[in-house]
Amino acid sequence: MTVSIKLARTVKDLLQMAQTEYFDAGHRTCQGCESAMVLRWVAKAAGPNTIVIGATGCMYVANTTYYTTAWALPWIHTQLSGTGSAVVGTAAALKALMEKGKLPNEKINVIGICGDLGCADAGGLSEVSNALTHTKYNFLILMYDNESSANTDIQETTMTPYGALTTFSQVVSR
Amino acid sequence: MEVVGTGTDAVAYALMLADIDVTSAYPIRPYGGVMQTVARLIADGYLKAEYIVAAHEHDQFEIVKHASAVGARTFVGSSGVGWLLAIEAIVAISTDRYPVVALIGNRALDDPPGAYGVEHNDALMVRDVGWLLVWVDTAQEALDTTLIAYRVAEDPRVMLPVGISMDGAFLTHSEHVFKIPPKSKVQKFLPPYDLGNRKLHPSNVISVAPQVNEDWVTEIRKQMDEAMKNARKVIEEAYRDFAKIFGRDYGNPFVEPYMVEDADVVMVGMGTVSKPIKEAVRRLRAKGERVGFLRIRWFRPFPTDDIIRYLSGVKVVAVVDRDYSFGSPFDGGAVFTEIRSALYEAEHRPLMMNFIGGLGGREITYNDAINMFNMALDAARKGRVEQRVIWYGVRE
Repeated sequence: MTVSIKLARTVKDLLQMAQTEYFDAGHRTCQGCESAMVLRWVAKAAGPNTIVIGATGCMYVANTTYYTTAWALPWIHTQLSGTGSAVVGTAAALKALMEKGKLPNEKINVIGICGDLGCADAGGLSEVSNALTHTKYNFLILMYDNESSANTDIQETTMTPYGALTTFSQVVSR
Repeated sequence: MEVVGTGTDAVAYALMLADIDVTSAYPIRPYGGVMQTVARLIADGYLKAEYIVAAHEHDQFEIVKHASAVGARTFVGSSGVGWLLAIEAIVAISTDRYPVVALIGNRALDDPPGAYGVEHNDALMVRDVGWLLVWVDTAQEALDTTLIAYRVAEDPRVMLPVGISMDGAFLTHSEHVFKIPPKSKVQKFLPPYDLGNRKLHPSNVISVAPQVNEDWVTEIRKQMDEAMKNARKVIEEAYRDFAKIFGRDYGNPFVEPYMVEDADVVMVGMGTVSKPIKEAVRRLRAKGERVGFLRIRWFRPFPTDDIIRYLSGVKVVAVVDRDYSFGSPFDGGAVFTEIRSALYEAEHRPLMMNFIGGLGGREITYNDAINMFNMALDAARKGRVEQRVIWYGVRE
């Protein structure tokens, strides 16, 4: 499971990298949203030969509201718990099609993006776990852990720290 | 080449002929045999495909959905509760319009657990969400229908998944003699899978399944409605070409009429229940009773025109349901309810009876079929149905 990352070796490379966006305008995340920033830099590093898969979550809802899309890379939605399955299915299909000569043989990055509800909860953990056993496929799973189910009103997930206040917390109001 | 094999073996050989690219497996009876045979075909070098053992059925169906999105021909399957565990991914496959072909080894739902026997409720759960559904009757029909399924599903006018239903045990595990056609004929019949401009690849930068709400969901569903309606024509074309290329003619693609001309009483059913019923038809015909049988092959799209053509003017139609639909309009089975709805448009509406039976794999024997026919013939003579829905053979 390796993702080919283009290393900037010269100032010219750096400049080009700074000017080329694969996660671009068209999203509606807030200013300073760390998840969106991470996606932007991951997309830059991965480059154009990449397929991105986004599980249900705020980085799906905020980035691909029809008619707009922030992705200048091929992108597809997967179900909330589907990230592990989706990267395996995509990478396996690319391998099969390239080996059979139905697609040109080249390295294509497969990146699955999920929140903590998607990958650490909701059955997603088992699909990620299974994906990690399929070592012959090339993929990367990226979990942005914002410690809550942020897209659905800040509810608790298994990644929510002890004592943190969520809308599912049973606290006594004083 | 003629071989002996189970119903699931026949599907596996069809997958070899269709040259699938990706499949995903998870064990559950009675569909599982197909994945064992596929594994052997790959090991022996007859099929080149990525074979992914999944974490569970949801994983399984999500894997093939995404393989299909990048242009791979895929196969998947399950049974009973396994099929239901995958339901979220199953619906996403049809709403994303990926032509996945699945085998459903029909099995009773839990609880009680461990009821391996056939019931059709598992497959019928998806009858409203854009899956084409077909029931097969023999191993040969299973092989042929699998090839036809890929052709129909991948047609640009359809682009919807197909579920092939096979009675658990009675067909999944029984051995038949069937013919494996040469690959050259299959290539003539089945063009390569081409997603066109929907293929997810770095050379085609698209966003698939972005978030839409009330502004576009209605239009997306309407497109599925059009595709499902188109499927009727595409299925007809596929069977016509199949007969031409392979020399096996199934006649009417949607239903199999058996001695229905001039019949006073026609039984209707899906799957292997045809065997005892056809035998009963032959014996009763020999005694001069005008009886017949209509086997439904394609349940989605529903063969409304054929149902009307064959059943309008019949005195009594008796539907055998290997399923239930609790609280449905007449508390009968799902097939009964659909046929009754279709026959509302018939010029001469028949009387209708419903037998719910064979649940959990309980056998419907030749004697049972004779009994059912006798009840229906009695209703035909009297000109009225005393009990509309009969739970056949139930211990009360």
